Amino acid sequence: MTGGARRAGLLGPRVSATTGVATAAALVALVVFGLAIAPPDEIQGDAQRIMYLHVPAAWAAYLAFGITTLASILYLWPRTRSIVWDLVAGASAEVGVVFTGLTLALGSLWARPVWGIWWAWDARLVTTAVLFFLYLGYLSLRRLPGTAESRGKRAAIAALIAFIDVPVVHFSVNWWRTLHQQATVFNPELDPQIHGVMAFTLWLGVLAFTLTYVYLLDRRYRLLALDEDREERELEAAIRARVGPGPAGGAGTTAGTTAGARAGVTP
Amino acid sequence: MTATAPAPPADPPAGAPRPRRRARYVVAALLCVGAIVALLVVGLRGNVVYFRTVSEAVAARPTDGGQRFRLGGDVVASSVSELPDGSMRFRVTDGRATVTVVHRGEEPALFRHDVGEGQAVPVVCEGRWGSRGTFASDRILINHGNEYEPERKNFES
Repeated sequence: MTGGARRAGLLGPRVSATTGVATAAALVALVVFGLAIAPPDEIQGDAQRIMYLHVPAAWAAYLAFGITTLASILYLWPRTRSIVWDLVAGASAEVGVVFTGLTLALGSLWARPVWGIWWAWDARLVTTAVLFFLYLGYLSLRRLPGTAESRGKRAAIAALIAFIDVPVVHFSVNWWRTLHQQATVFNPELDPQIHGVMAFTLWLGVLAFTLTYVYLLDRRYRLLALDEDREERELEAAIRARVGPGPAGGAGTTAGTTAGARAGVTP
Repeated sequence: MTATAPAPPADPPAGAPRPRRRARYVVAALLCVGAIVALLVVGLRGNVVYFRTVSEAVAARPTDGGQRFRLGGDVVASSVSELPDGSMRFRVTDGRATVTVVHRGEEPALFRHDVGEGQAVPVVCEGRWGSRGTFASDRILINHGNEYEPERKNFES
């Protein structure tokens, strides 16, 4: 069983703690730069500062769904199939949904003072909302009963389909005429429209949110792995209680049968 | 669950393949969702337009039957004036066509009255064609760009 290795989390305990400290430090630096050091925008004034959270949140969501996709491919590929990738995909999607929700909320807060409205039915906003619900659907799909393998495959395929929307969100501002502005840094011309301290603050935000993502991914993965372990142990205990401590004990139980029985057995 | 039906005639007793078949349905449903997304991308490409340009709006004026739409363009330099009845009047252009907008309603905080020569101030106005070829707007959205610059207060002596 790989339970011990899984329970340690993706990062070792020391790496995880260091990442947590680095994340906190980067977020504090971002607050200082975003609120005090970066100058107000010529046109938007102080409202533009929301950009230092909105853009990094969107980036972190893309990153999270990218990792979910990668882990899902590794799960679907028979040679690399492992429950680890299934859990990484799930944990990353959870964090990604949080960042997508954050992107939508922060964007709304930015839109009100600048555009004059909380929400616009333009392509960027709608495809982002679709993204939010696609991965929310993915997370609920993960909870449907089934054997570990069928659940894993099903979720992995769903993850690949949901990811189609990520490039659609990113390029929506180029493909369609939107109220939302085009990308400032990764625009088609790859010509950043932000410089100096403002650009530095934006990159600092990207760094801080990337660290936040890594830290949260590790934490969520650890929780999912512990959950998996607990269910296995509870199931073994239930089997032992029913069959007695004979040779049918849990040592040889494969992940497939345990998860298959999970739907029926309530200890 | 499977044993409740009193001897179903054609249905084979499906004990084991049940969950597998359900998984297949779920996958099929997801493929449909993927297809919908793909259709949205292919089908709506070039169709999802949040606003009409001034030229498009002028071209569609004879046939649009006074329906509501959004008009997007740049505010013409020093064209903003306030009318005695409280409404606001300005001209909006896309470089080829220009339209006079009469706006009645809230004015967004970032709307500028002192648009100078050579400054692009893009706005999106919601409303419909009014009398004498003007656009009757009741909502202005500021369609800001993707450029950010520090305030230049130090340049003013």
